[in-house]
Amino acid sequence: MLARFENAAAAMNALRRNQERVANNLANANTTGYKRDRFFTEALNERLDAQGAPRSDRRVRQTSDLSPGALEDTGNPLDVALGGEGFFVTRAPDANAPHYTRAGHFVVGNEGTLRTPGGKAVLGEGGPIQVPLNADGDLRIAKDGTITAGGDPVGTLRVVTFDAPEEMDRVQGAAFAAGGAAPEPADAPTVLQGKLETSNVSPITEMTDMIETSRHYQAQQKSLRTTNEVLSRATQTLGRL
Amino acid sequence: MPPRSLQTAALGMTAQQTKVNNIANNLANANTTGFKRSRVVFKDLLYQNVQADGEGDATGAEPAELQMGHGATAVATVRNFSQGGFTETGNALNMAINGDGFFQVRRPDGTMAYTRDGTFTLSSEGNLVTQTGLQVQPNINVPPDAVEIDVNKEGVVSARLQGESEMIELGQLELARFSNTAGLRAVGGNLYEQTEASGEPFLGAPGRNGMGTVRQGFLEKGNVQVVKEMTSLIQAQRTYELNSKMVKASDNMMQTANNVKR
Repeated sequence: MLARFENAAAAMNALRRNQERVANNLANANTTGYKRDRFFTEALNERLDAQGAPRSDRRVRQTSDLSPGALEDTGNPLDVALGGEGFFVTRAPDANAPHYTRAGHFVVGNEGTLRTPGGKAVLGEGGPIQVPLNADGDLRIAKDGTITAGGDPVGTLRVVTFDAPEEMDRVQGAAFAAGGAAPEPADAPTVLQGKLETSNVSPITEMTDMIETSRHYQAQQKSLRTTNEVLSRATQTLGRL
Repeated sequence: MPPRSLQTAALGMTAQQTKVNNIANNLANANTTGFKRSRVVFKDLLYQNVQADGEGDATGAEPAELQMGHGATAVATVRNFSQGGFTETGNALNMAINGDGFFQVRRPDGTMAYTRDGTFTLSSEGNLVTQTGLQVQPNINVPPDAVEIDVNKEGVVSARLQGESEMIELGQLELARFSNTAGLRAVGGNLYEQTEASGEPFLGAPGRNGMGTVRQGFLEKGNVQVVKEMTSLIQAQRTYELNSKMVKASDNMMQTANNVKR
C-alpha cells in the first residue's frame, strides 16, 4: 500500500520535470539553432517487494534531438547556416573549453572579432577570427567556410562533428559543451551565407507532450487519492470491528 | 514550489512580446523613407543541473543528472541594410542611393551621422540640408538664382543659373561605407552613427569603389516586406499562445498537486 504512495509521488516529480522540459522547448520555438530537448525514462530492476507489491526504479535520460531545423533566408552577410551535420565552434572570453553551436548568427564586435550576440568568440581554424574593419569590399563566406573581406582571406570557420553529439551537455545560447568528447573536423562542411537554421521544435509535438504530461500527472494524483481513500476506509472499518 | 515550467513559459511569452514589438516598429515604418528593418535574435537561457528525484538508488545505477532549461530571452536586434525600392518624386532635391553607402550629415554637436534618406531641401543660406536641417557633407551651396539643379549618377551637382544656358558645377556628393554596416547604431530620425563595431567610414564618390550610384528625383522606400512581417507576426503570436497554454497547464498541475488531499 505505501509503495503505491511512493510510486505515485516519484512519478509526479518526474512528470513535473518533464513538463519543465516541454516548457523550455516551447519557449525556444523561435530560437535560432535551438535543438529540441528530449527525456526518456528507463525502468530498472522491476521486482516484487517483501509485501508482494510491484516495485521498480526509474532513470530519466536526456538527449538532444539534432534533426535539422528549417533554413530561413535573412540576407545578412554574417548569418550562416550549416547544410549538413556539424557545429560551429565558439568560446566565451573567460572559458577554456569551447562550445559548439548550430546557431550561426554572428556579429563583428569591437576590435573586429567575429562573435556571437552573447559575446562568445567564433573560432576559425587558427583561433578567433579578426575581421578587418577597414576592408574595402563585402564580407563573403564561401561554402567551405572561408571568409574573405573585399577578396582578401581573413580566416576559415571551424566546423566539427562528434561521435555522439546528442549526448553533449547544453549551455545557453543554443550551444553544447563537449565534456571529454573530442571533436573531429567535419568532412566537407556546407556553410550557407545569408541563412539561419531555425529551431527544430515542433509545436504540435510539444503540445501533445504537454497534454500527455498533464494527464499522466492527474492520473497519478487520482491514484494517490484513491489509495488514500482505500486506506482511510480500511482504518475506519477496521476500527469499528 | 511552483514548477519551473511556469516561469519558463512566462519568459517564453516575454520573448515573443519583444518580437511582436519589433515587428510593430517595422510595420509602422513600412512607408518611412530609407528605413531599414530589424529583427530580434533569441537565445536559450542557462541550464541548471538537477538530480532526478529518488531514482536509480536500489540498483547501484548512478542517479541521472538532468539539465533543466529556463526559457528564452531576446539577446539582440539586428538591422538588415538590404536595398529598398524606389519611388519617383520628380523633386530635384530628392535623391536615392542605388547600392551601398550612406549620405553624410553633420549634426548640431559637430559629429557626423549617416542616412539613406535623401529627402533634401535648401536652407535659407542655400545649403543642401535634410528635412530636419542637418547639413549634407561635403557642403553643397546652391546660388539663389539657380533655376535647374542636376545631380548625376556619380554625385556631381550642377545648376543652371537664371539667364544662362550652360550648367555650372556646384560640388560633388560623397557617400560613406562601412565594412560592418550591421554594426551601425540607429539614433532615430533615419540617422545612424558609427560605433566601434561598424568601424570608420570609407568616403568616396558614388559609383566608384563599391559605392552605390545616386538617383535624382527618387527616394528609397523602407525595405520592410509587409507580407514577411505579417507571417513573422503570426508566428510570434502563435508561439506566444503556445507558451500561454503552458502557463495554464503548469497552473493546472499545481492545482492537481494541491488536490492530492481532498
